Amino acid sequence: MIERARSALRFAPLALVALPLLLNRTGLDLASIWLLYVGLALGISIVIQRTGLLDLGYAAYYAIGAYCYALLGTVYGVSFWLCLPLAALLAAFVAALVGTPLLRLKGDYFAIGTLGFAEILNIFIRNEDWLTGGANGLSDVPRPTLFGLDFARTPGEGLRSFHEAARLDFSGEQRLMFYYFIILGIVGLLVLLHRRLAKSNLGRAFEAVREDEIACQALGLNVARLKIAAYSMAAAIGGIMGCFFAAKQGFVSPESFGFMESITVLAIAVLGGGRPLGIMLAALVLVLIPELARDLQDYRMVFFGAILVVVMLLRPQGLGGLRTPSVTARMP
Amino acid sequence: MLRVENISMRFGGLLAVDNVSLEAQTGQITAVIGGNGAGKTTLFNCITGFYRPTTGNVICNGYTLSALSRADIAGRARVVRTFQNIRLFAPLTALENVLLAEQRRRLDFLGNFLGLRTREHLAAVERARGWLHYFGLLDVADTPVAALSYGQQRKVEIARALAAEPIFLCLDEPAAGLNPSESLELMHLLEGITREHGVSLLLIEHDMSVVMGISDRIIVLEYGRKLAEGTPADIRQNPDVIRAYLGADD
Repeated sequence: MIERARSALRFAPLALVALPLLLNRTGLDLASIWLLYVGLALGISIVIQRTGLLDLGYAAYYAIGAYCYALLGTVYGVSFWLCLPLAALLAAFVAALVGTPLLRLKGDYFAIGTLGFAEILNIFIRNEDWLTGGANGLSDVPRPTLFGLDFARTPGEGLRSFHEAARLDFSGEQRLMFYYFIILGIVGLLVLLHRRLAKSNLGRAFEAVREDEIACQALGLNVARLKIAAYSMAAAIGGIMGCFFAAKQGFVSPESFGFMESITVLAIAVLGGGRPLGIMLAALVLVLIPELARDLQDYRMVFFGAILVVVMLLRPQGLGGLRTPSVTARMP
Repeated sequence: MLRVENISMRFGGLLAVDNVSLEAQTGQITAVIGGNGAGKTTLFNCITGFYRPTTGNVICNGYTLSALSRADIAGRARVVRTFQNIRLFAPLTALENVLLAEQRRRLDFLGNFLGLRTREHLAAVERARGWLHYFGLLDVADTPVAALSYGQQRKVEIARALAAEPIFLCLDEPAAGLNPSESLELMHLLEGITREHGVSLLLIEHDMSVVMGISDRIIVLEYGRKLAEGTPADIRQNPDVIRAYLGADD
C-alpha cells in the first residue's frame, strides 16, 4: 500500500505540470500562491528543522527580495530574471550581516532577535517614503517577460506580445499560467536543493549543530559559520520568493510582510515536518483552505489554529514522515 | 607531546586545579586518575579548551591550546576529546556520526553539496566504516545512535573522535557506566588505538584498576594537586597513593 503510494508519487511532478490545464483564472492564481508558500516554507525549514534555529522574522527576507525587484525594476528597469539571483544574493548578504551578531544568541533569544529585526525592517519600509513608498507601497512593478515576449494585450516598448508570437488569441490566463510555471520551476529547484542537502555533508552538519553544538565544537566543526550558512541559505530562498511575489502582484506594500506572514510560513514548515511532500500538503491546508473560505472572515484564524493543534497532537513530527539517513554503510 | 604547564583553575573561592603540570608523550597512553572532586574533569576541560585556565598553558603540536577556540583545538592542533556524559547526534546513524568528524574543510562541504569530489567522499565513508569495524559496530552502522546500547554509544563516540584524525585523543572516563567485561573489552580496544594506529591517548578515570593494565604513565590527582606520577608499577607502590587513594590500613 505504502509502496504503491510512493511509486504513484513519482508522477507528482507531471501532475503539477499538467495542473494548469484543469484550472480557471482563480484556480491558477491560487495554485501559484500555494507554490509560493511551499517555496517559502522550504526555505525556512532549512533553519527551523534542519539547523534547529527558531526564526520568527523570515518575512524580512521575503520583503528584501520583493523590494529589491520593485525598486530595481521600476527605477532602473532591471529584468525580473536578473533580479531573481540579485534578490537571493542581497537577502543572503543581509542575513550574513544580521546573523553574525544574532546567531550568537541562544534559543529563545535568537528567536526574539529575528522577530526584532523583521519588525525594524517593516517599520523602516513603512516610514522611508522616499525609497519604499511608505505604507502606500510601490506600484507598477514591471511584469516579467519570457525571452522578450510580453504577456500584455499591447506589448511594452520594444517588446513583442506572447499571444502574437504564439499565434493565439489574447487571454489573461496566459500570463497566470506563465507565473504558475515560473514558480513551479523555482519550487522544483528548491525540492532538488532539499534532497541534495539531505544527502550531503553540509545538511548533516546542519543537523549536528541542531543536536549538539558542544559536540560539534569538539570535532572541530565551526558552529558559527555553519549557522550563518544555513541562515543565509534560507534567506536567499526568501529573497527569491519575494522577487517572484513582487512580479506576480505588480505591487508591493509593507502589509504583505508582517509578523503574521512569518508565522504562517513557520506553521507550514512545522506542520509539513521539514520535508517537501509534507510541506506541500501543509501549505495546501494552511493557505488554500483559508483562501477558499474567505467568507468566514476572521474565523479563518480559528480554523487555522484548530488544524495546527489537531495535526501536532496526531503527528508531532509533522506530515513529512521520518528522517532517512544521508548515507548508508552498505551503499555509500 | 602534550605539555600542561602550571595550570590552575579557580571557580570563585574554589581552587579546583592547583598548579598542575604534566606531560603526555606521543605514542603512549597517559592516564590521569583521582577520586571524585580531584579536579580531573576540570583539568581535562582546560586542556581541550572548554575552560580557560586561570593561569598556565597547554602546549601541543606547536600550538598553545589555551589560546585557540575549541573547534581549532580539534581541527588544527588535532587534540580531540570525548565526554563523560556521551554527546552523540541522537537521530543520526552511527555512520553519520562518525562521518561528521571527517568534514572540517570548507571545500568538502561545498564540493559534496554540489555532488562533486565523490571520490574523496567515498574514501571518507570507507575510513568511517573502518573505525566502526574496529569497534565491532558495522552491523549497527545504519541505526540511529539513540537506539544503541550505552556501551555501543560510547564506542561510537570514540570512533567519531578518531575519525577527526587526532594526534592526541582525550577520553573522559571511557569506562563509566560499563560493566566489568565491557570495560575490559574497551580497554583492549583503546590499547590497540595507540599501539596499532599510533594515536596518543590521554585518559581520565576514577577507577584505577581499569587503566593500570594499559597505561604507560599515570598521574594521580588529589584535591586539585598532583599527588604522584610514574609508571603503573611505581604508582602501585607509591605510599602516598596507597594512603590517599586506595585507602590506608589504619
